[in-house]
Amino acid sequence: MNCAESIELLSDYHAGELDDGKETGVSTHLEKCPPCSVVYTELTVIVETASMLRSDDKINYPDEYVLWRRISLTKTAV
Amino acid sequence: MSVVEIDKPDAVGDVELAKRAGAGDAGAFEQLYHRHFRRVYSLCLRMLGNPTEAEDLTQEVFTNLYRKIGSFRGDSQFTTWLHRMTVNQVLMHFRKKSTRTEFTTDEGETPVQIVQGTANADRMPIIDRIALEDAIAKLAPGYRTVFVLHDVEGHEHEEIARMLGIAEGTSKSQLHKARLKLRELIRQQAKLN
Repeated sequence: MNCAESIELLSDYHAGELDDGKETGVSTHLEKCPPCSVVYTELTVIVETASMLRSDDKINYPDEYVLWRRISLTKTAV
Repeated sequence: MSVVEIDKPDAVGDVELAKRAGAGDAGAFEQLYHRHFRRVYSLCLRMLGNPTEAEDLTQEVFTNLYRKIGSFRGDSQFTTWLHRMTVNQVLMHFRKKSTRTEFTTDEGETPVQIVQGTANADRMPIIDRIALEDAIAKLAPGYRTVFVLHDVEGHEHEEIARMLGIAEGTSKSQLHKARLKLRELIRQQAKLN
């Protein structure tokens, strides 16, 4: 398996959705190819960081009450 | 906040509030708004990548909710129902902006350039919450939608495909390209810093 083929399969590899042959192919390639291994590690970190965003509450929310007043005006017009 | 309220013995659940709101109880609708405002806004923000548009869409979602709350039958969780309504509202917004085609093809996005190994391949950029959120905001809407729904919100490809009206394989393909594009964007940003 070459680099391009390996990169193409990294998300499926991460999800454990490859058949045994392809999984072994990707795994073997990553072991001998540091650049592709770096790509895989970075994708893994992106996925893990994304899952943390779900419960993250560091967003700057707009004023809840100002928005509620805007909604109140709209819904009275509905 | 909503979890805390629901756990209180005297707290009224979402389904009951939705029933009351559907019957014309304005106070019940306002309670639902305050419980779910943050969840709706954060989903809009992540899918749109723009705070002003997210605020406008949040307003549209709750206005739409007000119109439709009488049709909520309690078959699914209220949060699931509202979540889908929010996603649909954002997708309609994309369609209005004529970006719908980005969901219909694997090739409808900016080509992803795979940054292959170089001498400094082991120098990994810092991938933290801030870097990722910045990069997500820069993604094209098609990539961003699938990435947010799958990797942030935790939906399965089958569900995303249904929501977006695309093939499951397209959802998987878009997600993979979105991740690669995010990696590229984060690397680009790291070089500038």
